[in-house]
Amino acid sequence: MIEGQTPEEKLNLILVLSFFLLLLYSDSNWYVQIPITILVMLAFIFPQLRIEPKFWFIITTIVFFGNFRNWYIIDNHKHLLAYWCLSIFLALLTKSPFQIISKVAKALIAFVFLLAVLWKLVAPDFINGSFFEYSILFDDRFKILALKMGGVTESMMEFNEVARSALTNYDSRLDIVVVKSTPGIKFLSKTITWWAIILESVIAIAFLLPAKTKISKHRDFFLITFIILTYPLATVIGFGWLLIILGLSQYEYRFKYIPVTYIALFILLQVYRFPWNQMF
Amino acid sequence: MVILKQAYMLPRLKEIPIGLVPLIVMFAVVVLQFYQVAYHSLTPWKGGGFGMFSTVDSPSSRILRVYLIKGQEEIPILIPRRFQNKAQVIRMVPSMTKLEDLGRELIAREWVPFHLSPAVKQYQKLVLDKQDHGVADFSQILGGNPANTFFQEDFFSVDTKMLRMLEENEITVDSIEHLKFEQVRLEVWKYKFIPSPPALEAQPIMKLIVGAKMKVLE
Repeated sequence: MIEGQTPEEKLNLILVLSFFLLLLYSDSNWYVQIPITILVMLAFIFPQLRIEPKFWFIITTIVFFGNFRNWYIIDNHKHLLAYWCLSIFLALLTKSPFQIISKVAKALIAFVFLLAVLWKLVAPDFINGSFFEYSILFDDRFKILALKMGGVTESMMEFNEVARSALTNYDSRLDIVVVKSTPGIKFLSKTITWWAIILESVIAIAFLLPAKTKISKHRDFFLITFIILTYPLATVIGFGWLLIILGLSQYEYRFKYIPVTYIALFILLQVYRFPWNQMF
Repeated sequence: MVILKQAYMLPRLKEIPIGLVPLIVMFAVVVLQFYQVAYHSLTPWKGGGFGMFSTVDSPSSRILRVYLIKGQEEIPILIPRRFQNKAQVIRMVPSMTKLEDLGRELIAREWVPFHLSPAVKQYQKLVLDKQDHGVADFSQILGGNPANTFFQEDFFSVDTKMLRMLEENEITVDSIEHLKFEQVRLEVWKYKFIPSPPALEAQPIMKLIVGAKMKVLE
């Protein structure tokens, strides 16, 4: 996505990246994964298929079908992926598909973050820091944070895990278990809580407002910051990749290193998958 | 760089806000999810509402407790593998209908005590069983390996006081008692994190007894 690229070239890049996303991070059930893999292969072998609306209609239908069958089990980004496939299909029916995709991408980012912020504001256990205190204490992805910055010891973590198992075990009749925490964890959780609310609110506002506004001109910086800081911990890489594709799609040429940064984030998110927890 | 030319487009569609369609679909899903969270105890993490990482009430904080009932005795059971998907959906978005459906499946089955015993001992016990389940006489091919020799002694096993569901067409030795139950109690709980003093507290969402006399408990 460099200055001077035609809309067709930009569209081709977005479609190729979307195919990679479908190949690597779509539904793992066979009735989605197998047909999607075949279709993506065909799209790489026969480039003309990439801009064929009927082709994307088939992809969209398969993705929506998979979502419907696993409605209560799938993660949110699978829904977002379905909307994105639908956007591509509909955009390809028009004379200016890249323009449509660009506008939809901006709107999708805006509303995803708006919804995320709304949920955080209405959830009492988010605002008071409980959610992150719980996550840092119990979620393996936050373990390194708990040990290095929260003042938690391995034996405390083990105690907490045993306590949780006692509560959730099939034969448990307990309704409360004590766990261990530290003042460091409480401080950390409150800090992360407000950081998350502020950053996601800024992103939502930046992407909702018209492109001429000052905050909207810098919206890519905010989104890139979010991706860099979030995905070391919330390792939902498919969501990260989709946000990068949406970011690239809506990018308007203002800062010439933004597109390269978005592309580099694809690599960075894969680097995040290294087992860093085991190394430190 | 591959330059693709569009082969097909509908005329005059540039004037139609076609880009709104995905957003409309998204909002329809979001409204449905809000409704299900508010009125059907769906966890905010699921259902397409983008509520992940906003609350402790996630799929992993939901608990399904199941007890087979015989008289005054209640025996907790692990959800059998064949019902794990059903159980997962029940945890995400519990309903009396789903609980009843699972409950009826469970009381329709037979249950046997679950003994932990090493695989080798299980094999030896089955082969030495008088009905021998069609296993041929292998004594001639056991060879000199003493491990192949069968011992007519009590086989090491650990009584776990657990029950497991008998699968259809599963063969068991005669001495194992098959149990049937007329009632089962199913409870869906969710836990929350209490920051001070730090604790995890479980709260019931829904309870149901399924059987001869159905009873909604909560």
